Amino acid sequence: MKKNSKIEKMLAPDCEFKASESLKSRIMESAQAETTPNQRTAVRFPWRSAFATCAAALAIVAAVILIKPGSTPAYAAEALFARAAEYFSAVSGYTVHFEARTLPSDNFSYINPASKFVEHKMNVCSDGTWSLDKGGRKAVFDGRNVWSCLPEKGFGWKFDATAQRGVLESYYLLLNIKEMMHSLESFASKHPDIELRKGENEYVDMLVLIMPAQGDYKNDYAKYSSILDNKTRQMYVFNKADGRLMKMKIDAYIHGIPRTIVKLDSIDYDATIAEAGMHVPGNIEWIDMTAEGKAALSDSLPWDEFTGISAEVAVEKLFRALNTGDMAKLRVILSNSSITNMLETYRGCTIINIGSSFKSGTYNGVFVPCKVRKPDGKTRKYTIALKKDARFNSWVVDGGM
Amino acid sequence: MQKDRTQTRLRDLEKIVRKEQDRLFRFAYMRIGNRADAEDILQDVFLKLFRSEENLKHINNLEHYLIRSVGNCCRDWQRKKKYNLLPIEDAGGIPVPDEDRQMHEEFLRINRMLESLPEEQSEIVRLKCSDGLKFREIAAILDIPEPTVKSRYRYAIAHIQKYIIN
Repeated sequence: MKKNSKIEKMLAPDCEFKASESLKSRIMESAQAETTPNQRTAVRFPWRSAFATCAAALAIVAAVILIKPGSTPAYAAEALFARAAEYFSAVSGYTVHFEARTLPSDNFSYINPASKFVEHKMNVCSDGTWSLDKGGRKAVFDGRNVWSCLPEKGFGWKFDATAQRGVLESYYLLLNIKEMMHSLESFASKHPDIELRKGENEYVDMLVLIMPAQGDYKNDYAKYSSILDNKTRQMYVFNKADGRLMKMKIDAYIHGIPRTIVKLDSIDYDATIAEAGMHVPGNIEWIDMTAEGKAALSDSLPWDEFTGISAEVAVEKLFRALNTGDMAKLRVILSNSSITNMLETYRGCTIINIGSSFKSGTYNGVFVPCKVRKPDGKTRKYTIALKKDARFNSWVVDGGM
Repeated sequence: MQKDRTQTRLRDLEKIVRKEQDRLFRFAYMRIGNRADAEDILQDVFLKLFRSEENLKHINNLEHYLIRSVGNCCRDWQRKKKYNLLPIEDAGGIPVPDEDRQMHEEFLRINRMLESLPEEQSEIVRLKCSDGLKFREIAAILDIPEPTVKSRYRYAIAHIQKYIIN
């Protein structure tokens, strides 16, 4: 019996186990979010601004752009890279399954460390076409245009081919897997604020990048809301034999403690990509965001109604126009949105109050908090994202509704 | 009215999380061996409880329900992990954070002692020695007769004894 109790003691852990300080608040935030559904709406940032993707330099995205075949960066594993390139020249397409903590219909870049993992499926074909689907949001590049939509809401955006990076945001990297390791290493070497660690064993090479959060957080609203807006630890595992990416994991540091926000455990390199996966959804109201579409926007619309005024006043005018059904004004302020959808959702809402606009993180527009009373008498808070239209310098709604 | 009800539910959840989180965290960590996944499991279980709270009238014992739920999630996690090539943390030698080192060493040490046991026995040993449950409670959680729990435990301890001697 004595012997038994000695063994039992050995089988009991001899230390204290404490859950992270942040676990309780994370759980409570998620529970709170579930009691107030749709606080966050699906249309925010139909695509991230050029500023966010280029200037703020999301390492993994920009890396792919910086390193083009033919350039000669210092790179210690040329042979591996060559093997990867050779391997990919024989691959006709691949399918990537990964998971991210996000909302199914929000932007592809949107991350919420308190959310559950949402499955993503990305098909990449050798002819350069691709699709990315996370349930509530789907994007397809057909070789000419990028079509990004919210199938359940029945609307989406049509972009020029140049918008691929903006639409895919952090996942643009996955379009170019054969250059990935090369690019990551080279990019890190050019950015002193990124810490690069390497590891290897018999089978794999591993890169770990520690990246500081980008953007200005005088206001914390956008903090932790994308990979870019988090301090991250990004881990990439490559097959030693042929350079293929095998795994990827991105942890965000939330109050100093790493929490996985994106994980990729397998890539099907021999995938047969079904046509359905590459299909542009039908029955969708497409908002034309192409250069041609934008140029076709009528000069006769009252653009000056939303120029030279504060973002707060623009929000006030927006709700007035929604209530009066002033289509001319709505075509201006909602030129990036589905007016039908907006009218259905917001007609009859009255503003209770509007807070001061603010900037946060990497977003190049402003956020305007407001509280409205809905026709059923209930109140709702929104934080509306507004930015300036490049051509007319007029405020346009960019999300948050 | 609805708002009050929601606030009460949130307050109740907070109380339960505060009371149970460390114990359940130990439970999950000892089966999984990494903080991030163990905490994810806890988050999922607590949220599931919160969502279905009104349909949980059949639960007689909340602690047992939570342990059983976390245990199921850990088993799902292990099943999923089995098909992966190698744990990402191991692939490039990502170190365990300093604050978790002792915990991780305990996880490795105890798992080494239990690895040669059949799952049905090792789980009982964990529940008894690591989670400090009584045979009666283990029987209720695993939904098996108490004498079965006791006999499996006895076999397990005898086996470990031999293992240590050898």
